[in-house]
Parts: sequence; structure tokens; C-alpha cells
Amino acid sequence: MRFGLIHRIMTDALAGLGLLALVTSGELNRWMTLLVVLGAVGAIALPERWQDRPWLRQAAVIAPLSLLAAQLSRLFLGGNVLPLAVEFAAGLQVVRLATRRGAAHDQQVIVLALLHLIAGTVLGGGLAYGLCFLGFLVVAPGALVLSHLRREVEGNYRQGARDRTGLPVDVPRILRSRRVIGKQFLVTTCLLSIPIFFFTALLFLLFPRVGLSLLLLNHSRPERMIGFSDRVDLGGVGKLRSDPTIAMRVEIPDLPEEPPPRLALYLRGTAFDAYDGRAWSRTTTQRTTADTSGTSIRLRRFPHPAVDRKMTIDLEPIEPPVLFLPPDAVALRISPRGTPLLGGAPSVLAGPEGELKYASLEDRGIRYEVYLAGPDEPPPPALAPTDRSRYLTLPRNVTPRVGELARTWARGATNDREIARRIEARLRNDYRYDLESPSGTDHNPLEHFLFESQRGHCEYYSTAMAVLLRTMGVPTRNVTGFMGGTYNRFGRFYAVRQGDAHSWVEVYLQGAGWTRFDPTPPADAAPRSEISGVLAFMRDIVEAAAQRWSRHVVGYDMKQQVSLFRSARERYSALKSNSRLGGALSSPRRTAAVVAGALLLGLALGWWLKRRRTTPTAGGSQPREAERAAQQAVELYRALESVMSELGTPRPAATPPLAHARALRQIGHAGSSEILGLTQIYLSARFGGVELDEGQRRDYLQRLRVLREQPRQARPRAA
Amino acid sequence: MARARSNHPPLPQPALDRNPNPTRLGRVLRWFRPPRRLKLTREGKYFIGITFGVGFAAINTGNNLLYLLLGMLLSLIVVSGVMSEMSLRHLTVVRRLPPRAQVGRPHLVEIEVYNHKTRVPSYAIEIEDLRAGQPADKRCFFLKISPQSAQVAAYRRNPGRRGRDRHIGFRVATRFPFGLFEKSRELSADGDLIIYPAVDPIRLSSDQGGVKLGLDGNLGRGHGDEILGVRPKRDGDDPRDVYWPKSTVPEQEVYRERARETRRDVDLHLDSIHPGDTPDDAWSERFERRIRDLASRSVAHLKRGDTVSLRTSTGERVRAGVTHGADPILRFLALIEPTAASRARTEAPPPNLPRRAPEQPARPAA
Repeated sequence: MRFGLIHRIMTDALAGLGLLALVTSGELNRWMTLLVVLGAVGAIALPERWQDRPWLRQAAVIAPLSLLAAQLSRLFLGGNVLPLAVEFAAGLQVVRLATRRGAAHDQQVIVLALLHLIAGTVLGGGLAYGLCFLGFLVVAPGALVLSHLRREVEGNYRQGARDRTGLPVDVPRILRSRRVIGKQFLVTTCLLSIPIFFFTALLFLLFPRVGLSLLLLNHSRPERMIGFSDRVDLGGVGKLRSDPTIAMRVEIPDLPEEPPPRLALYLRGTAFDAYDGRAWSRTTTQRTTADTSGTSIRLRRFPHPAVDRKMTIDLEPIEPPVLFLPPDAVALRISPRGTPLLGGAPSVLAGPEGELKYASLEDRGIRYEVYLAGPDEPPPPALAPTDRSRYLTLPRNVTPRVGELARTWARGATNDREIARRIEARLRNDYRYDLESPSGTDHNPLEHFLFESQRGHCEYYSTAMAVLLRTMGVPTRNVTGFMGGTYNRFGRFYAVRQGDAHSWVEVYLQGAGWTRFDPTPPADAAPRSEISGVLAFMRDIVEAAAQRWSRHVVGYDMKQQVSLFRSARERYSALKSNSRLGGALSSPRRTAAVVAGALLLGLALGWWLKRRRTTPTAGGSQPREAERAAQQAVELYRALESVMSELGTPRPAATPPLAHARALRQIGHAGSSEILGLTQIYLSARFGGVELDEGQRRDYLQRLRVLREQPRQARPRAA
Repeated sequence: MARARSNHPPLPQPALDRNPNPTRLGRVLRWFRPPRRLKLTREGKYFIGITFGVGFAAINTGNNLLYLLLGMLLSLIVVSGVMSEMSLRHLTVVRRLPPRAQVGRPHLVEIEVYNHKTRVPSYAIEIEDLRAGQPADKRCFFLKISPQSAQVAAYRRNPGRRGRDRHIGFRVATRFPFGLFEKSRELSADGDLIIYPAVDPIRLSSDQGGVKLGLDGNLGRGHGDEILGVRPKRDGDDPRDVYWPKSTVPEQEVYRERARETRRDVDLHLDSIHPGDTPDDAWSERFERRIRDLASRSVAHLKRGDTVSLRTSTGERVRAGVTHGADPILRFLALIEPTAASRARTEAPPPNLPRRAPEQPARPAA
């Protein structure tokens, strides 16, 4: 393999990985991403011979300056700093790739790739970044080595230089050479990534996580989600149905051996008590700090970790930052990411309708454990009469026919639960699920849905049921959250996606408290994500890997670190107690003896290794033997040189032996054939690995004697 | 030929040590002296700067990905140390000095490096030839030395002053694998090269001072360049000496009789005693100029076939003829040092006992 080509490939790969780390951060918009990718591909594909062209050299100076000017102009015109900086970094790399000349520029490419990787830690940090990092680990050693070698070549070999044999040793020839870099070299440099990987992992695990949080460089863009803010217009949530992005990962306790591939998991986000005929909102918007004890938060009571069943939720960053809870949650505990000395755990605020919002210094989502109610949980407190009226308020534009419809549907029902069930059943059975309901454009979308279109999505259904029940004097509120969950067999969690966003109704029932009713037809509202097939299989793998990356790498904190050390110590203790070593270390005196013994053993081993290095062994003497044989060959050739001097044909110092022998033959010297033969014997012994035995050496010397005598007889008298 | 070997098998010569008899403290200090020297390159400084920056950011932000990156950067430093050590180990370095060298005339010094490792090649090895009291400015670079093989490179040197050029060892360095650090170690390998004084082409006049004719009284027939006379050619005469302009008559060829070669002895003198304890600059300059002049004249005389004797004012003497060539005299002139007048008086030899020339150094093996 050609040195120059391999070097170029490795450097390009490193640059590509750096750009990928930037591009996958999502900081660049679609067009800019496309531009960067196309630019990088074009720059890499640019023929190397073009790099000497004057216009390209001018571009190397002009393009970065122009790019800088453009970005500065955009910044002054109100552009966001971060995307502009990312674009500039990517553009700089593309320009450098296109205009590079020589090892110094290649090293700049590598440095830029490294800076891109560093920027990626702040900008992105997802699984894609992890893959880029792994790729970097594999490619970086080779690229760095080759770049350094090329730098050395360019620094040490002059243009047009020649070696002792007269062959050119200039830079282009070395770059074309296939002898410098072999397959073994490439494999070795790539295998270097293994020790680098393990050492990196070791350092990563051992670095004490005592983040000071003085600089907050974490940057991620939370997904803005409709439906969880303080006001929700009818018809907004439906657009999310086709979005497969993961919103949260839920680990559910007590799953059967073969968990169901799909689960209708209701996770409540926010609730609204006031409907104005067009949008849902809250009468009271004031939030109070949740009742907390350490990282535990009381909903109905504080958790009993030893008793309560626990559900773990990994929530991706969303906007607004709402915590999602199952209906039977009694308490939760936040798992803070990192343990910064200055800062602290995220603060949680409780809203009037039981919704929780969090505020954190970092925007990487949140992980929390939800403690679920047991069978003997005390009944919820009764609804205060002052609050009851809030949940019965009807919008002004509700006409009497809505109440009539409710009464018609609830005819014969004896209690609130029965009324609610009947209305829920009618809505489920008589209406059709449709994401493109025309009711959204009507001035009274609810009545248009109930009496005209009779099709809509979950918000229409939940609003209709809530209003219908209110006309019947049953307190209700509209709830938004997520419903669904697809099981990931690799990560052993249920993935709840943005498309699982849902809306339902909570009905206050005397004695039972707020009870969930979902009037949306279940078949149509079911999650649309695939659960079988190759794509689902691949998706599960990627999502499970992303979860582990996020939890064990991005979310590795002091708690995990302490837990890891504790686990290691426990394993060591267990090993100690179960083995003879444990018995030996049971007392301080024995421990001292074992340590002293180990030290002595180490010293003895070191002494043995040193002795082995300094004492010639069979294997170790091999080089010495080869050296001695080479030395003997040199001595023989010196004797030949002496004879050649006597013959009047001494070898000039600048002429290699073989060239000299051939030159003699060309001029027709009498002993040239013999000289050539003897020279070839010397060369094979000196450089060809042929070892001359005693007989061959004697024969060589004998031929030399003959050569010395022969010309005396044939030599003409000197003029 | 001088050789030095790194690590295994052991050095054939003692490790480089300027002081052969160190004190106990010196021995202890030497024991603690690191076997390798490490120097940061420019790229290495940037790399270390980036590493510190990433570490600072990681600690201050708690961003685990920065910790991960910091781990990778530190791992690269560790791997760099291991690989550079692998590249430096098990190398034998051999120096081949030319048989003679002269002020003002460039010569080549060959450096051969043998890689004793059975599998691992050594990359980017730089050998610096160390000379006593002189800056190490001569380097040879070896891009790749395959396992169990040798590479030869040479550097050109143009000596500026006469004397003994003492090569004391090698500094074997590498910036492999990433060019972040330059790791080096020193190996001892002695070698001497006598730098002859510069010789200028001069034209000898007929009345050279100090010239006397040697063997002048033995004029007669011989094989010299001078024509002694002509006579008819006899059987056995060399046909090349037939004097053709006079040999117009067939069978009566005229033969040129040559005179026996005569050899002139040339005595040259060098004043090597300087006034005072140390020679001043002007005297030293004159002394060096005189040496150069004597060297030039000696070579010219020797080329003409004269025998040259050189005496110094301290009684040292050297003689050279056509059979020995100019080496004895040039070597003598290369090594001669001026003597203070006071020392010259105390060390003056008895009148009947001529002093010998300074010890002739062993000629370095080619």
C-alpha cells in the first residue's frame, strides 16, 4: 500500500468523523448539513495534483477569510452564535481538506477534527457522537502516526536527494513507496485502539466526578411539545401522532417472562380545568415547590423503597419540562445527573392540577423513579366544594343541545361512574378517529365534532367527554400525557414516543377520587410504531444502545462511581472470604507477610528479567551471530579490495561494490569475472542472509590468491 | 569503526559517562538519572494544551463526554510513550569514519543502525553524532529500520580546524509515533578522526630554503626522469626509451640512457614555542598559518619526490618520503600544540637525544 494514499485515507476518515460529530449534533440546519457533507466529499475527492494549482492556493487564503466575514456579518444581523460557530468550524475543515498541501496541512486537518470532536461533546452527545468517538479511537492512532511520519519525511529528505546507491530519496518517491507502510503496520496501528479504548475506559471510570459546574457548556435543544404548556388549543396534539422520536423510556416492575410487545401505559403530564370553547387552560397557574425530602418527592406520601413497587422513567429533554407519572403514583425520586459541588439536584414545582415541572441546570433530560400505590393505599381526599365548581364550569358557547346529547347518552345511569362509562362508550363506538378533522377550523370545534363531522383525534374526544359530563354535573378535567409503549427486547424497557402523545379525561368520583376515562376509539388511537420486522429489530438495537450510552456514559455520575467501587470492594471481599488468600490476609501480621512475599517475588522476577535481558541466550545470540557473519563478509571483501588495489583497479569510495565490479567487466578487465563473482558472494553474505561456512571462506581466500597471482603473469610491462 | 548498542544485548562499551571515576554521590545520582530524555515538540505543546483544556472543562462542567475525551487524550500520551520506547530499543549504531580528513575539505561520516528486534520495525530514528566539546549539529534520519536489518546513512562534515576530532557517542532520538514528544537516549561509542591541516596548491621555486640534495654523489644510470646520455640500442633495452628522432638509420636505433633518480631532502622547521604562559591570538593565528604553509609545502615536496623532514623548536621531528606519503607529516601537523617557553626549557631533551613526534593515533577502521 502506498504511504501517501494510506495517509490521505486515514486523515480524510478522521476529518469525516469530526464533521460527523458536528453534523449529528443537530446544530446545523438541513441545507447547511447538506452543504457541509457535499463540500467535504468534494474536497476529499479533489485530485492531489490539483493542490499545486495557483487558484487553489489563493483559495486557501481567501476562502477562510470570506467565511469568517460572512459568519460575522450574519452574527451582526442577529444570527445565533452557536450555529454560526459550528458552521464556521465545519467550513474551515472543508476548505482545509480541499487546499491542503503537505504534512503540516494534514496535521491542521487532524487538529480541526479533534476540535470538532470536542465541540460535539457540548453540542450533541447522543449515540451518534458515541459512534464517532469509537471511530476516532480506531482511526486516530493510524492517522497521527502517518501524519507524523510524513512530517518527518518532508523535514528530513531534500527534494532531489539521492541515497548511496544513486536512487532518489525525495519526498514524492517515498510517498509512492509501498515499503514504508505494510498491512502489518496498518493492522497494528488500528489494533492500538484496543489498549487506548481500555485505558480510556479505565480513566473514565476512575476520574472523580466532582464537577464544580462553574462552566455550563451542556447544550441540547429540548423538543418543544404541544399539549403540555399552560394553554392547549384544540387540534394541536394530533400532529405528533406520526413522530417516532423517543420521548421517554420506562422500566416497569414485575414484568412477565415474555413482556407484551405493546402496553397501554398512561403517563399523565398536565391537566386543565377550564375550557373556553376553543382552548383548555388552568384557572390557577401558581405553582409551589413540591414537598421534597432529599431527592424524594411526595405526591400522596413519601416512598418506602423497600416496599413500594418502582417504575423508572428516563425522560428525554422536552419543552416545557414536565414530569410524566402513571395514575397510581404515590411518590417519586429524582436521580440527579452528576453531583456538582455547586448546584444541586433539579428543583420540582407542583401545579394546581397535580402536574409536576422540573428545572435543572443541564438540559439533558431527567431520570426519576416513580413509586406506585399498593393495594392498601388510603383513599384520596375528597374534592373541596370550592374546587368542585371549577371542574363544572362550561364554556359560554355551549348550546343546550350538548346537554341534551349527554342526557340522551346517560339515560338510565344511576351514578356518576355509570354516566361516565356510557358517554365514554358512545364516543368510542359512534365516532371515528381522524387526525385531519375539519372541526378544528370551525368557530365551535366541539359542537362541530359532536354533531357534524363526528370525527377527530384524542383532544376532541376528551374535550367532548369532559364537557358532556360537566353538563351532567360531574366534575371533570382534561389531561394530556402519553399513552402507549413499545417493548425493547434489548434494553428491557418500554419506549414511549412523541407519537404516543394523548389526551384523556379525569372524572372525579366520590370515594374513588379522580378516575381516568379514555373516550378515544382504542383501535385507531393505538401507537403506530412497528413491533416486528427487521426495521423494528434494528430500531430496538439502536434505541437500547442509545439508552445505555445515555445512562452509563453520558449519565455516569459520582453515585454510579461509588456504587462501582463498592461493588468491586464487595467482590474482592467475597473472593477473600472464599479463598485461601482470604485466610492468609485475615490478620495484619499475615497481611504484612503476604505483602513482603509479593514484594520479594516481584524483585526476584525483576532480577530474572534483567538477567535474561543481559545474558545471551539461544534466541538472543541470534542477532549477534548474524552480526558476526556480516562482519566476516566485510573482512573478506576488504581482502578483495586490497587485491583490486594491487591490480590497479581500486574501488572508489563513492562506488558501490557491485557497480564497481560491473564497471570492470564493462571495460574488459582481465579479472573482472572473478571479481564480480567474489563481490556477489560478499553481497549475499552481507545482505542476503547467506552464512558462509569455514570451507567457503577458505575457498574465497584461495580465489583471491589466484586472482592476485594471475595478472602478474599476464600484466604487460608498465609504461 | 565504533559502535554502540541500545539495551539488549548489553553495551559492548561502558555507558556514556564523562567522569569514569564518579564519587559515591555521583553514582547515586547516576542511578537516579532517567535513562531517557523527553522533550516536548511544538505539536506536543499544543496537544498538552488541548488536554489541559479538556480536563479543565470536564471538571468544571461535569460533562462525561469531556471526561471520555480526556481519557482518550491521556491514553494517546501513554501509547506514545510505549511505542517510542519500542522504537528506540534494541538498536545498534555504528559509525564509520573516513581514513583521513582535512580542514576545508568535506568528508562523509557513515552511520549504520541495526535493528535487532525480531518483529517490530523502528520508525523515525534520528541519530546525532556527539563530538567532545562541539555542538551536536550532525544528524542522520532513518525513516524505517526493518526488523533484523540495518540502514546506513551518511552526513557531510566540513572541518574548520585541525586536530583530533573525538566522537564520543550517539544521541538516538525519535518523535515516533505521534510527534508529540522527542524521546532520546545517549549511547557511548568512541572514535577519533585526525583532521589534517588545510593544504594549498603551491608552486615550488628552485631555491627553496632548507633544500639539500640527498644522494647527490651517486649519479649514474638508472630509471629516473633525467636523460643521462644516448648510445646505440642493445638487446634487452626497453624499446620505449628508443630516441626516435636520432634513429633514422634502420637497425641502428639510438637509445636514451636515463639517470638514476636522485632524491632531495627537505628540512622544514616550525617554531612551536610561544612567549608567556598562553599564546595570544595573533601568535596563534600566525602559528596556524605557519602550519598550513608547512603542510602545503610538505605535500608539494612529496609530490615532487622529495623527502621531507620537519622539526619543531621543541625538538620534535617527523620525516616522510614518497613511500610513506604525506600522512606522517600531516598527522604530526594536525596534532601539534604550541608549547609555552617556560615549559619548553624545563622539558628540553638532552642535546643528543632527539624527541619523538607525538604519539600517532590509531587509524580509525573504515
